[in-house]
Amino acid sequence: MKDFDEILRKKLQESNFEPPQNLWQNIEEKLPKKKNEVVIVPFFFSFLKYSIAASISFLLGMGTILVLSNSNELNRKVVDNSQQVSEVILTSTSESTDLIEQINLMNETPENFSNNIFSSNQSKNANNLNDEDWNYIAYNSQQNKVVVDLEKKYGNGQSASDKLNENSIQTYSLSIIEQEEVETSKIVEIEENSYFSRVQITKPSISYSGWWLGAQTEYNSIFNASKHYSNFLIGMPVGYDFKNNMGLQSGIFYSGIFEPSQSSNLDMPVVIDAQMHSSINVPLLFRYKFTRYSERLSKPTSINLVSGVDYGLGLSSGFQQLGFRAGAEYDIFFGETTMLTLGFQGGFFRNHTPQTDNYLSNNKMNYKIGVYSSLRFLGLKKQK
Amino acid sequence: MLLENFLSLLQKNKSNFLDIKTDISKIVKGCIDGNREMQKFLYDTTSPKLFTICLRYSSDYNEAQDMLQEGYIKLFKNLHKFEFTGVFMAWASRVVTNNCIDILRRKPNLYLISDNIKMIEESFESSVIENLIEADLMKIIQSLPHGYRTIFNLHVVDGYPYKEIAEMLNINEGTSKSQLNRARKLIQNKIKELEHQEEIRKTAW
Repeated sequence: MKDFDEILRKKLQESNFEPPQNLWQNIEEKLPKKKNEVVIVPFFFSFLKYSIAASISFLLGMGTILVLSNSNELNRKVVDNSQQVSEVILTSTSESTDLIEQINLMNETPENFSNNIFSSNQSKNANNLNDEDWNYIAYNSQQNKVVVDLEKKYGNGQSASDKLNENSIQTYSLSIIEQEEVETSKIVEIEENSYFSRVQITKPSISYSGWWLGAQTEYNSIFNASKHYSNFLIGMPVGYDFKNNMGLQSGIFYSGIFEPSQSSNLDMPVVIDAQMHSSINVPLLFRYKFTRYSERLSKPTSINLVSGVDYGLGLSSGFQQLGFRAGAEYDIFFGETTMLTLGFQGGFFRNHTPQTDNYLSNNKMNYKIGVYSSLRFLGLKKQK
Repeated sequence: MLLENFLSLLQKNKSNFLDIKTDISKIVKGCIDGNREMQKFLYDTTSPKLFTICLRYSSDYNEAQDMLQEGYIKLFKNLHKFEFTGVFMAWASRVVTNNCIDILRRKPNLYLISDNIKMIEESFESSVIENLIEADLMKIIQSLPHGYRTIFNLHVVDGYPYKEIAEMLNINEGTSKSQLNRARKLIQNKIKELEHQEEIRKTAW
């Protein structure tokens, strides 16, 4: 049998048949023009290329904003404190002096806290405590806590009345309290202009409902029994959150699945000539939201679990897709009505097609995993 | 003048000419730049070999023309991907073969198995095949069902291993082996038939 194959191979490989004379004219007509002439690039190819570039730059930009906004958040954190200060700690951090007292004041607003310090200091002084002295009070705000450094010393043989005569001590304490009052006025001002006026915050949770609309880019990796494909989508998601923690989402997406037409061989140069299967996809997903206020980002956030069905209609060869997908999303608010959504998902689907083709084959289960990002705009009603 | 020399040399050496790296790099770059003369030159040089590939994978002359036309458009479009480390003719053959496979995969019933083939083990005199006219052999190949023909071409003529054929056509290795065996038998039967007809013709004279 080897001889038979060998003889046939040799004979067929040595054959040469001239193509018809007019074939070059047909080919020439379909070849692109010279480089200096205008070349019309199919819309969807350039569209996909730019959408991929745009989504990468979008993610990088948002990441930068997140990092930068996180480094200078004092004012916003003061705003956080104005909502509900959960814990105020009065403590000493100085190593050079003796720690005398640690006071923990729970559920105090900064204003009350200031007053308490003032009154406490005054009352202590007024009460003529003769065994201690207040050297200074320092005020810091970090990580949603108001921390006050308080140093006090036992008198070294000095009487309380002697210490009360040291004006510098009392003056210093008062000046700190004045500074706090200035901060308090800032708090009120920022609060009025903050985005929390529309997205109602009752820390540690937030609530929002209503319509939203957005723009989304998505990348999926598709696998079946023998092959792997890349899938890019771009489109408009839309949703309605009918409750604080539940909603439905859908949308319309343009999808491109790239199918390499050839795998590599060992002894020859390789050409990967991708074939694209384009389709319009419409998902219908249920989502369950866990909303919270992120102290790290200083922004309201929401984790959504989404799952549902996905329908696709092929643009080129009329194939249809039907599948299931599930995943998780992370929403970060950047304003009253704007949020960045980052998500990942997994799922499976089948193609139904009148044609026999490699990717589009019937009766083949395809699996996909992917990531996406979107910018979503909420059409919220103002909440009191 | 230079082009004329090129062409005369080409007529002598045909596709081997294009394996000379220094020359092919100029031609390929010219084609990438959209130089029509260079493109035509490349076509003239390579088309007989590539058309033969298309004839092998097609069921008739017209289909082979379509395959070659589409193959050349892909070849020119992908010329920038050619790395000058390889032999150009091998690369071009690969592009055109891939295109033929793509076209065949779009066809329904690519892997239709006919059970009416007589599986008779027969030994073949190598001279019988060697004496076959090229055109007759091509007709026999083209007359095969396109599933058989594709696997026969990929494995026997182009030297692809079964595993790779299975991946390319999305079938299992066992199927590709059984299809190839059937293709061999069918070819043998057809050669026998042809030989028989030839004998009848000779006796009639």
